[in-house]
Amino acid sequence: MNSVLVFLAQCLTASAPLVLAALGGTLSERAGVATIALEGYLLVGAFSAAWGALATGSSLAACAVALISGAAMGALFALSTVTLRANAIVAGVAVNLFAGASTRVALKVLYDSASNSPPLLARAPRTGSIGVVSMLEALSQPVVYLALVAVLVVLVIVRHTPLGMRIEAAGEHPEALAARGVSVDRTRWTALVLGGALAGLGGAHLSLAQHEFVAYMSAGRGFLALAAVIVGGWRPARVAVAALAIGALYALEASLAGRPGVPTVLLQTLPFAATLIAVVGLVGRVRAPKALG
Amino acid sequence: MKWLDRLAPWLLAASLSLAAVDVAIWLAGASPWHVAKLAAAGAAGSAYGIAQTLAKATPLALTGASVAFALRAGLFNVGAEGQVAMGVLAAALLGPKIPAGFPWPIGVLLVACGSAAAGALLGAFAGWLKAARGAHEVLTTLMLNGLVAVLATWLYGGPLRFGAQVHTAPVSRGARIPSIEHVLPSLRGSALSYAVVLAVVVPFAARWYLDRTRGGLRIRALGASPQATRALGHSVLRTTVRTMALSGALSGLVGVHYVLGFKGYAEDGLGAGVGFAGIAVAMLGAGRPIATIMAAVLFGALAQGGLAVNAVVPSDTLLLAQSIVLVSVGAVVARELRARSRECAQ
Repeated sequence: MNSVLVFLAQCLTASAPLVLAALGGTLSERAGVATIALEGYLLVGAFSAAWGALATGSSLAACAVALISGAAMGALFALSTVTLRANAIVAGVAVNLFAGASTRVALKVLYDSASNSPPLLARAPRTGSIGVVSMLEALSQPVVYLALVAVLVVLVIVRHTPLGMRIEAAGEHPEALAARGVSVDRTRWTALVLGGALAGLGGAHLSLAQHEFVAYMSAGRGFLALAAVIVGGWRPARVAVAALAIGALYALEASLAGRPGVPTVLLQTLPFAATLIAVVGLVGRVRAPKALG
Repeated sequence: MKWLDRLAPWLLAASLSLAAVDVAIWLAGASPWHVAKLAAAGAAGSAYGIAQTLAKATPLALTGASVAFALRAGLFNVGAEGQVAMGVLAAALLGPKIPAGFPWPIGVLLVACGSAAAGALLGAFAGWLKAARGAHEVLTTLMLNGLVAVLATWLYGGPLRFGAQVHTAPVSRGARIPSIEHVLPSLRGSALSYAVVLAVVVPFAARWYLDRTRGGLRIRALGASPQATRALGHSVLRTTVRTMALSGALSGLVGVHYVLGFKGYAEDGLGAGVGFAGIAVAMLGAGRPIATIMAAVLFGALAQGGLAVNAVVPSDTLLLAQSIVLVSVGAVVARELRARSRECAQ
């Protein structure tokens, strides 16, 4: 019972940032912009949430700061890919380099450390079995609930709003959208800024759940979230399920590592290996937005 | 005005990144002019500084050539990061196995082949996934980067750990590249070794292979269009795998610099970041060997200059320039391509 509860708690903790980043990626990619910048969004979100938490002492305020800075990163990415027409992969690498360097600079300037922030928001003292404690800790994180809300919001945007239709048109047939008199650039800007905000919020969970920011703590999660977008066929509900599955692999690692007879390295490589296999296996069965590039 | 066209991305990139870095320095509470003087002195003001700059440029020239190589076939190798890690790992495994009495040029050559092969293996796998299975190389190489990084961390912390040290067994004397400090004593302690020769030779060799050999022609044909490759009677699958293997091999060679030239062993995090920085080098270099080497030296100087100013502003401040350069050059290249396709259409 205890180990099941620990595993479920780890699932929530590991999935929240992946689900949010993947939803952000879904919006940007549906608009026709390949988004490896998710990795940078997560990192900047994680840092700005740490700053927000230290400055205000509130985890909700920290989430708001992460949301805004994620949106700013989305705007930066939109400026280079949409307005300046840089290649999306090149611009994505640039955003990721920028995120890595700028968070390290801010870490040094604000907290005089090369590797991590001071501890954030003291853990509430809890009593009970380890399973109950870790579940309560996971459920005390606002981003877990916000991720759930985000799934619904993105579903509604994509399926039921004019914005969703415009985003889809921008990704499938930009000429048709332009012919209708709608600006493709402005639509893509909107999608990218929204996507950045969601992924930034996801990043907030990384530092809030760990009660500190660590340099380069996103550790490839943005790339895995991008893989979830593809495995989920660019459809929000399926993407969220794919991100949950990758989160479960992380949870498996976190709850089984260190036990005798369990090869830790296999558990650690599992998220990347399984995602690679899923992506390769699903090629041809999912359809990418036509104008994706 | 052809030279002006060629210079434009450099000028734009330089002024934009200068502006961005100045703002960052100012935000960090220092004087940009003071920092610039310190950085220049650190990166180019002494023999030691220049040696460090060149040592930091060496891996970047290799990964820059590697990324540019695959781009000629229209393949985006963002997996240089993992291929470098494979090269470092191979050098760490093979280096200690070479008998100490071996003449070092032969020992180094053997290990270099191993490093190149390890990088090639990872690249070829991504190439095969692309051509045989249709999986996009950007996504698969990113996954492979993560996979190799996790594996390497585990290996260096456990099975390959050398006693109580946090690094692998030292490379035998038969495979160590002599440090340049034996010739120039003023470079004592610098990371520069004769591995820097690779940084000069590899970009030229890659360009020569692409432009002057049949194998290179096939790769360029694939870049023009897969139909062109088929029209020449070649297999798209084999050409894709070969391109990615060769690109991976160039990145794998970085292991020679770090393990045989500089450290003498491998440790966790060695070479991290040079794969992605290589993308910036490839963009500035645009496939031209001299430009690639210049771009590598530029970023090497930024990294070394960053260390020199670390007491005043964080060293990463100067590295911010890398991302700005990447965006601005990417934008200029995109504009050139659009202009060219318009010309073709007319």
